[in-house]
Amino acid sequence: MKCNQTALLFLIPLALQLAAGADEREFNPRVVIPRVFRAIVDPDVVSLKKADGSLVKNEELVLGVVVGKEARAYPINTLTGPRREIINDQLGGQAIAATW
Amino acid sequence: MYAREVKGKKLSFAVSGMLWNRSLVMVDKETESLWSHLLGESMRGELKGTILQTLPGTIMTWAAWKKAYPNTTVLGLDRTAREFVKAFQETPGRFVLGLRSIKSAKAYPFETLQEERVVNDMFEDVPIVILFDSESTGGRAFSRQLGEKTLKFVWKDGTVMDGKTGSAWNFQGACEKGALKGERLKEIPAIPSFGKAWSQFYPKSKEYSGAR
Repeated sequence: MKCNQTALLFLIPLALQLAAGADEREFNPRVVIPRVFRAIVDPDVVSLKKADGSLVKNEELVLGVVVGKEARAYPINTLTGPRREIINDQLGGQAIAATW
Repeated sequence: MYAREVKGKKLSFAVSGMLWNRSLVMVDKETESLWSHLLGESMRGELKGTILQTLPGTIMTWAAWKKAYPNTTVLGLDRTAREFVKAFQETPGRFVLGLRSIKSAKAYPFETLQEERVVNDMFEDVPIVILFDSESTGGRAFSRQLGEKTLKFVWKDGTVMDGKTGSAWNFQGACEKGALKGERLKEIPAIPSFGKAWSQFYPKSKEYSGAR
């Protein structure tokens, strides 16, 4: 009996794993922070000259995008954290969501 | 990086406070549908099944970006972190550059890209090239089709060159010198991502294993 119980302990998680694998697309989100954050829409944008060295330094990473003739950089160090992970913006006449 | 207009309606995305497969779930304020951040697809709600158009967003150092795009503007918000300084260079094993379509997905490990710089490959039926600038740690994918020609690229003497004409190309997919000067390759949206997240969301994704 004791032996069977031990076997079950191993088998149950295995069975659950197999079940989960059966539909990889099963959407089962988990609430981590029980609130919806404010959407950031059309945030302030500054020139290269104004940002350079203060908002972003040479070795820091940026998420860059070009739409038409316009280019914009989103410093990764400003996109970090739940308040900042998505930026709703406009570029080159297109509505974009900057996120990675 | 996504276009956020769906069926003529502009959506505003926010962080939902939920995670799926340890990855961000977005919510749009207009319909309150839930979206997988990495898949760019609505998983629940009115817009379920809708897929956002992916735009080519590149991650590279600020120094390289401002040099390539001197007319760039910058998000004017203050820092919330300081950790992303050459993260790709220091821990390339954590990151992949991903290509995807409705049919399939393929991941290119940063470690391999860093080593090879120029990767000629096929993604589904499209001949593609990935150009990886080790200095800026930015990788971008382009079609190798230029009009009727299919180009093949090499990394030679510290320059990206096409094998046919020996013209020199930059990492932005523009030809700077030689017979093809002024030509520009069509960019294919590639997604820089954590390798673990990519394989979780695309369990059937192929992985590029190197030229040799």
